[in-house]
Amino acid sequence: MAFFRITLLRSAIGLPRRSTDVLKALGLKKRMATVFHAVSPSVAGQIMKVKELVQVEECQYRLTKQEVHLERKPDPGYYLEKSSSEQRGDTSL
Amino acid sequence: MFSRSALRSFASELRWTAPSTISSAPLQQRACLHQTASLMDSQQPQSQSSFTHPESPLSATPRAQDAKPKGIPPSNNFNEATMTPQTRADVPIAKQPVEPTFTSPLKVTKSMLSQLPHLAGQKPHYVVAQLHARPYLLTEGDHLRLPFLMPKVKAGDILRFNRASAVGSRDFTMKGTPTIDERIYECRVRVTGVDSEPLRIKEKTKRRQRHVKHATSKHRYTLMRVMDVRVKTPEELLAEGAVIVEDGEDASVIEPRS
Repeated sequence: MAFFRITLLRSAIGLPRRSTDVLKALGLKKRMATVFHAVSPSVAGQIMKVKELVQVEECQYRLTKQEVHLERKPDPGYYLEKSSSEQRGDTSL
Repeated sequence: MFSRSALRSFASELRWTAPSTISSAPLQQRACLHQTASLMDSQQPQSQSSFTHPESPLSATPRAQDAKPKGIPPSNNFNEATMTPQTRADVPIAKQPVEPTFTSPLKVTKSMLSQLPHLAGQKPHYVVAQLHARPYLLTEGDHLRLPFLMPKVKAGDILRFNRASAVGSRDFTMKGTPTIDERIYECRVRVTGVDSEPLRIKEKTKRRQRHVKHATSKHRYTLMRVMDVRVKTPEELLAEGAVIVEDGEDASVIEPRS
């Protein structure tokens, strides 16, 4: 089952009330917010109303909020090779 | 007075009677139309119930039920086989500071293997290590004060930095795309302690009030010392089980200084 992944890139401030209401109906409250909706004609029509403001991709699964966050999370870039307690055991180091 | 009231009553009578007489026919028509429409509605589903009507609810309900089991498979991408990450605490093992386990051997291109002795033989080396996607240019013997307090490390711990965008020497630089494979180099760092900044006091005032609130902050930073930055020689790489492959486009390349 396919889903629309909709991200609000531009704010609807200063736009007609209609576009603000459409964003509210889609569940987009602030910029860079991401929502998932099942592909359907009604959702497609809603996206068409605000197509200048949002970025739309099609994906196979509905991701959780944390999964969307983890896509942007970088690697820590380090790991603990030897703790100080381990080193006390061997005197070579 | 009397005449007006009489007129009013007469007029009201007229109003009451006239619309009913005039609009009785269309109202009935409307009622009839409505009835027919409702009849049509009620008849259609009965006649076509087996074809059209139950399709939408029946197909909709299994979808809603299937959505949960179907939603689980992407969790395989996050190394947590059973559950999808729901809260901020659910971080897959790949994004935690844990020693990596390798499934495939290191792949080295022929051109890089031929140039690697030049880089490996020329000490000292520098590394552009990426900690939380922020670059740190490090050389052996450097003192490093991180702009944050590294969690779960103590003084004396030895860390390995395993994300580097570049490793180089005086004349050569190996650039990653975007990072170099961590098995080509070694960057070891010893935690030396925790630094603490002087207590900062910020006065918080509100309008028309004499009271002044003092907000304090005292951040702590991890101190480190770079133990060694080393690039492995081709012999070491081959001894560790590196595989030589043909030159590809997205492999890291050693560039001489221009």
